[in-house]
Amino acid sequence: MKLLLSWLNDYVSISDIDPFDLAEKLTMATAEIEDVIKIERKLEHVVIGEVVSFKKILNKGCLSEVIVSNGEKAVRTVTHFNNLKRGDKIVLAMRGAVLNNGIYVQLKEIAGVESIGKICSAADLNLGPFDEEAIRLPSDSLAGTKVSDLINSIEYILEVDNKSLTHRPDLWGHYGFAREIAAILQRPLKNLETINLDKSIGLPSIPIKIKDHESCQVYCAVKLNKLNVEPSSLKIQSRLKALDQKAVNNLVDLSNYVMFEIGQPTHAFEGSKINGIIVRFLDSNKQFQTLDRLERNLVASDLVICDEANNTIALAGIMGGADSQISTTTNSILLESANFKGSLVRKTARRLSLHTEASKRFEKQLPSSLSELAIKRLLHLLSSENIGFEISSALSIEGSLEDQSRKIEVPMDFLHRRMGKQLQLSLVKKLLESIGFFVIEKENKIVVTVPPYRSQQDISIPEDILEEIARLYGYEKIQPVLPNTPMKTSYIDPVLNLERRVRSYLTERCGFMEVQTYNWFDDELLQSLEIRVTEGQVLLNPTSPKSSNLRSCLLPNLLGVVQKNIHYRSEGRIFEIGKVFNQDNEETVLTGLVYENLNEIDLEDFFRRKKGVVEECMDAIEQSHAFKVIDSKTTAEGIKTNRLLEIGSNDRKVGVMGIVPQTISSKIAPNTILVFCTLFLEKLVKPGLQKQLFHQISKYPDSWFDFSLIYTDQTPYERIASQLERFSDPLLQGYSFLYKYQGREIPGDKVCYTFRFKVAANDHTLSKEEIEQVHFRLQDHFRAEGIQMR
Amino acid sequence: MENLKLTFEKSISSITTMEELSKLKSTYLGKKGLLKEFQHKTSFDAMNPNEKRRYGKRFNDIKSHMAKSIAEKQKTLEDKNLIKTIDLTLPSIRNQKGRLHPISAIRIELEDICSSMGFMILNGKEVETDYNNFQSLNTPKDHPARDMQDTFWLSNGKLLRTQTSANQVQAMKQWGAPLRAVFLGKCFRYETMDTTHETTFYQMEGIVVDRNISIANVIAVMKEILSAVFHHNVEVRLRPGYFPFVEPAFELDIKCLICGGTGCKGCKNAGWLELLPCGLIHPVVLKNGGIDTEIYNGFAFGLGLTRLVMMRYQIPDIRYFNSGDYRFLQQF
Repeated sequence: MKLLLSWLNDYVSISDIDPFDLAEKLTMATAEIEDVIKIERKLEHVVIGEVVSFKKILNKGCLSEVIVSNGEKAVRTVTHFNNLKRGDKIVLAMRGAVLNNGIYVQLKEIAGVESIGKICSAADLNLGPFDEEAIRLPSDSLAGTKVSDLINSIEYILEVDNKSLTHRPDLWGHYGFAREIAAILQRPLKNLETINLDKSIGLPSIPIKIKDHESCQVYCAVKLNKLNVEPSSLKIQSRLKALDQKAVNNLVDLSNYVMFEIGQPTHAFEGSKINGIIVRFLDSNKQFQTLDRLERNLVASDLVICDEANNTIALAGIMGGADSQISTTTNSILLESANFKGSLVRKTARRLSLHTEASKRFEKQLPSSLSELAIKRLLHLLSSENIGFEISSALSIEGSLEDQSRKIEVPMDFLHRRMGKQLQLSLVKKLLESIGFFVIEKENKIVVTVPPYRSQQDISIPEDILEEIARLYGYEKIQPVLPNTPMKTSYIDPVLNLERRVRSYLTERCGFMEVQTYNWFDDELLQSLEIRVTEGQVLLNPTSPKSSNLRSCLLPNLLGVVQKNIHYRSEGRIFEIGKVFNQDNEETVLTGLVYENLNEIDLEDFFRRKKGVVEECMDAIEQSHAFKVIDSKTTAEGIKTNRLLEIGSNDRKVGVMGIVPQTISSKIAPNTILVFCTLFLEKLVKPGLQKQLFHQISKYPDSWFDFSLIYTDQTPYERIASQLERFSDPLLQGYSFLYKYQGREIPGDKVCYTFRFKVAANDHTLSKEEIEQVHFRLQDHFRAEGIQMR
Repeated sequence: MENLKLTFEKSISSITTMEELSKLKSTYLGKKGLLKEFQHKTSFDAMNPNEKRRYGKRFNDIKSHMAKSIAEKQKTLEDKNLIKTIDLTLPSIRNQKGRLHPISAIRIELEDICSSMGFMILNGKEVETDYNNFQSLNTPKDHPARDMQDTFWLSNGKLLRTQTSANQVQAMKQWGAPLRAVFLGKCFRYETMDTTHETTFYQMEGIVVDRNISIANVIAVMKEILSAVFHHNVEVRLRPGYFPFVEPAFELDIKCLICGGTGCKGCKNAGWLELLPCGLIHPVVLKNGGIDTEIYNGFAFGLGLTRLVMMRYQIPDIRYFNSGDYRFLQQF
């Protein structure tokens, strides 16, 4: 929202204050001022002019020759404004004027006519941007008056951050800010002058019916006759234009002016057409044309204003209807000022995407008492602007103008403890009174009466009073004090702790890059890779229709990452730790994905190394691990595969590991192998491995010998291992797999596996004979198992 | 014999190549070498048995000394040659290095700072209920503050949390008072994305519930945390803000770390940077969390973690974070 400093100066004297200082003070005590904008207007040699004659220049398109009186003499100008007539009051830039847009006014021949003046638009005077219409002034304006006597040549605008006003309907107008400034600067605030309506007592009332008082607490209306509708004064026009508003006519402009002054919107209906008001909810959906000539689809729950014949004439609190709009020839109006329930206005405005200056204010829930004030203020301004009118009805008020009076008790002790600082009672009182609160002292408490213009949402509990005192006192005057709290060790959520360990293990020890992807799938990618994921939770309002499905696994997004990176890197190791979502739950999982060019690697060796990463990772988080081959069609992480490794820990399935099938990988990166692994981290929170205790290191050396065994090439290692497991010997300490060999001396369909066996005793050094004995026993075992030795 | 030893020492010390060494070896120890020659020249007949024994011992000592010296010299020369064959200036070969996502890196830093101050590190859900994300935080269905956040809604009536504050009431219910906790994680807003707007970003929420928590405490704790975050004694200031779940609500600014408050491009000449919203927890929120407001009150703060990371590394575009782009991720 924008504030004009010259306007604020009407209520509190600030002409001696630096605008930037004022902005800073408001930011620190009231609401964030985002910007201070300086507007300069070049007004020298610019005066009010009166059109003496107007004629089109033949064959010159839109140009016209206008004789304008500048109060002293007639000046000939050529203009493109084409609807001027004798007697119109306009703004004339005379010879020597240099306007804001760079135009230098001098004697010039235009279209064969000598011109020595320029009729000005709002843009010429820098009143408002892009406003290229001729400025029109009221008929009683005096030709020759210097424009610099009417408006400021320098104007400052404060730009307020609207977010910081969400709870402060009182700040949605200049007067509210003036009240804050008066309090901050400790200067007097001028009262708002209003009209005295005594004379209208006894005039007929306008019948007003409110169907639901909760949705409309009060509705005020008054009828005016013999209204002289014409352009507003230059001061009113310039102020509204500086706030980016259009100038329409004196009535509409002043209605807006009051809204920007006290925050209460008012609306004028064509008076000749309306003799009564009904405020009600629509009972069925209907089309309604608003002032902006757009058809709006209203629904049954929308609050509307109807005339006495039940015709809808306005969308309550948002916009009037086109049919009841006042015309330029009107001289009779019905003026509305009402209080509508904020949440209703908000709901309808949101649904229609129709956010008007009025709806923005009503949404914040205005106080009822403002309704009457707005009418009285508007009538006062009509008079002070010398606009002729006659009041033809009583000020009719239906509902209650009384805002619930609020008294809040605040113990002084509470204030001190919450602020962390002692304040004198007299100071507290002074601060609160400066913004219109009424304070009574009572023992060790203050009883604060909240002024009606401060909304219920804003001020209702002692904490709210604390805020008023603290902000006006100045937060910067409160010295920092660390709290006293009991010493306790801190706690970290076990899943988060596990995440941290896995993250650091994979990045620091295994060279993995951590990535993060969105919480939803890219449906386009899923489609192109023919990945079918289980249906999970769906976003109602995705940013793109292709990203509405929350991810139920991480792999597809990681495949997308590889697809993006493959142009820069032909190999890589990535992982993500994140939430995945099923129908009604979410779970933290880890998925790692490693890819490499097939030409660069030995496939079996590559896979074994990745399996090693998984095992080491499980070791690092103190979990046991077991792999189980699934040799049937399965789906994991959204991809179909024929072979998969299931990872188990303590007899529970805790993850899967596999190779992305060629059908998918070839679309992402040709000739590339992608190995993935997913661990369900939440299943790995509890440590699954017992911490090893120290065991005595043998004083005697151990020995080893190697054995090579020959199998058919179809034999899985798993089976070989189980055959070896079946051999037990008191001297055998263990064995390890060394390598697999195919080639010379080994038949083509056979594979040779070499193992190393370690033997030792813990009470003596083994003799040559003892070692040989184990060797023989092992040979016997192999023979018994039917294993061919090399 | 002693002279022979001296000349040997002299010549061996000046030898630098293998060729010279083998020459020296044959000169002294060869079949026709100096030692043999010396032995031939010696007339043993003139010696008594004692002299003979002494002579023999001395001769063997010198001979083995020479052999040993030559062998040592040979090792030294070999070593020299070995090192000579390696070009020590070649570039190193490094292990492939992994990286934490920059958000994770700063996240760990923040959690460690808060943990060191006795804050619990708690976890939260990303899909939340309307109650946890809004209603429990004093933001009923028709509250104007809901306009400040555009929410992603799910077909099951739930939503993607718009703020980590969604955890406040849950944490209070689970852990009770007194409580010091932070919860850090992904938040979501329905936004049109550009360099500074993302649908997915990180926040860190912190709450302190205890007896007599004051505005003075808020300033002090925030100053303490932020000084640790920025590795610099930062100056903070509070000014009025508005969030329905705190009362009073503050916007916390820090004095610009670049210009120190005199005004620069980084702080748009303000001297201060708006950093985080905070405030004393609204009694309604405490009550929703089952806290006895007669005894306890508290404060809460919310730090935009993604923005902090952008500040820290001067990342100009927020969209990099979820891009998975290696060229981005390998920089941190």
